[in-house]
Amino acid sequence: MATTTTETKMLTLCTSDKQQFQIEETIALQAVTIRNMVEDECASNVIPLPNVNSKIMIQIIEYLKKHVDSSVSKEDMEKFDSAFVEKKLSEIFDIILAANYLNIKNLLDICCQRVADVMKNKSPEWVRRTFNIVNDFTAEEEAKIRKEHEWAFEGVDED
Amino acid sequence: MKTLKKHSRVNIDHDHHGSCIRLPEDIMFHHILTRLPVKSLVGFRCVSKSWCSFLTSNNPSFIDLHLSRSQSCLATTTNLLMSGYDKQLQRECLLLTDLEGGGRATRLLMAADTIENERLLLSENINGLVCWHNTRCAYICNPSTRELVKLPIIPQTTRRIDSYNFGFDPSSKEFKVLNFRISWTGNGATCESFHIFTLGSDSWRRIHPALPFVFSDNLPWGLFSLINAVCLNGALHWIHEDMATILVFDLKDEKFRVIPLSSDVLLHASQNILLQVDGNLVVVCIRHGLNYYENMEMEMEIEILTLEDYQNEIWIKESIINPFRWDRDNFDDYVIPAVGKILLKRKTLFKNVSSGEVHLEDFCYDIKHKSLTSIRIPELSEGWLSPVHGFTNHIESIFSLSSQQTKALSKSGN
Repeated sequence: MATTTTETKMLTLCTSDKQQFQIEETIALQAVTIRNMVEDECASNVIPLPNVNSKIMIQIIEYLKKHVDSSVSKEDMEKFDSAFVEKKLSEIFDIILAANYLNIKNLLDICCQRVADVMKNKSPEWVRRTFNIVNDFTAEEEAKIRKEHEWAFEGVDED
Repeated sequence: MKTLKKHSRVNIDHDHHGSCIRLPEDIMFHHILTRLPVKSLVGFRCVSKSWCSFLTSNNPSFIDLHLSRSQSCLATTTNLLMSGYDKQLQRECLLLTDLEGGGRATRLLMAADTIENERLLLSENINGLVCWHNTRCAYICNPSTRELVKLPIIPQTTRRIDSYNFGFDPSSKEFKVLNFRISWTGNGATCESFHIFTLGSDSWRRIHPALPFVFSDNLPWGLFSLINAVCLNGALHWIHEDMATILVFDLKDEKFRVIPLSSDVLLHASQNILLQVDGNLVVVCIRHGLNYYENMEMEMEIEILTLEDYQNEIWIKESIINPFRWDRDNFDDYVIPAVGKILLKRKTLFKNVSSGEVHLEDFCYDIKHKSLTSIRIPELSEGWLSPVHGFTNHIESIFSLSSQQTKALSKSGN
């Protein structure tokens, strides 16, 4: 347990599964949504975050703690970010939704970049399966698009 | 047939969710798809109907965000577009090559007509689009989506030369092509007309701008420098050596004006090239000084003038470089501008006479970083492509020319 001095202001965040997280205000305020709530004084002692569960909150706090530390060099921060996004896609999706809700721009950026990097060489079938998208083309319609742009399918990963 | 192994991999990807998450459209389209290369996005048109219509809709905020992300990678890319004649296809081709990737080239586009000996030049790359043109015809291309649109032909007169100049007007967000038509008789050459083509329209529009000086010459060659303008700040720019000026055409109000140039450098130069580096106009002055004592070897000097202050018209003579000795037997005095760089082309050398192998080596001088590198394009040595006569940089853009054209046709049909 970190020692809290009187100068360090703490905030309590409450996740969707009713877990409470006590963190330093400076760390939490990097999330624009939390900053707005604190500035508007619509938050009392406990800030409810009904769109974020505790499993994701732990990871977001890990990220925010690193990024509040101004002594970390740019290079080390990039190393941290690239290691941070080395997760399963489903976890990245959850973090994206949370980062979007909490309005943490850089976290949203690095996670979306990670998804884009994975998607880059993937087939349309992979995209449909991964993002739960229904193919509403007829076989003929799809074949026509593929034929018109054959070059775009060269070198695509096999499923 | 899917194997069990593949199924298990999918399950790992998808974790415990059973079916996976659906990301909101705003995140998928604006945050994720804007980070993908155009090739992936063209393939993803067949994911679903809504993806297809979004990816071909020319949605302005999507195109701009995607473009700004691909432009931010420009500093590190070594990709160049080049235009050359493919001997086997007997067509002009637009190719993409990576200067550092061993120089392999990918054919992106092919001209519609057989126009042997009518080489197509490349304009600058403006927001992902290029104008590919010669003295008779012009295309607007998006090399990333591999689309090209042939511009309509302006009704012919006899003996004419067309100059096509590609630009972008940020105030109206319109791509425009300015055409000068040069005609000549026994008395000399004159510029007989000016036309504007706006991308998204279906025809040329004649304009009658006031001219800052008489566009005429005893021979048509004097007017030939007025091709392939440099587009900067919503205006087209050409160097006019005889007048020692930069000729400027404002794309918004469609008027000409001039920026004076200090003439002392130009008097001695054998070739002057106008280009832009980091948003500044730059004149590259090349001089070949003959050195008779060393058996026809020539000294090459390059001076670089930068228009540092566009508003107040202040030129800075930045540097003088002497990259290498110019051996008259082995080098063409042939310099090709590319964005931020100049390519110094060397004449083909028959390295191995018995096998007929042709080796071609060029030099690339990067103006911004003041570095000279040797580059090789192996495809050229195989002899299927020659000559290469235009280079420009490559910017990825998802802007769909066919969608734009469909809009134009439906407009003109109404």
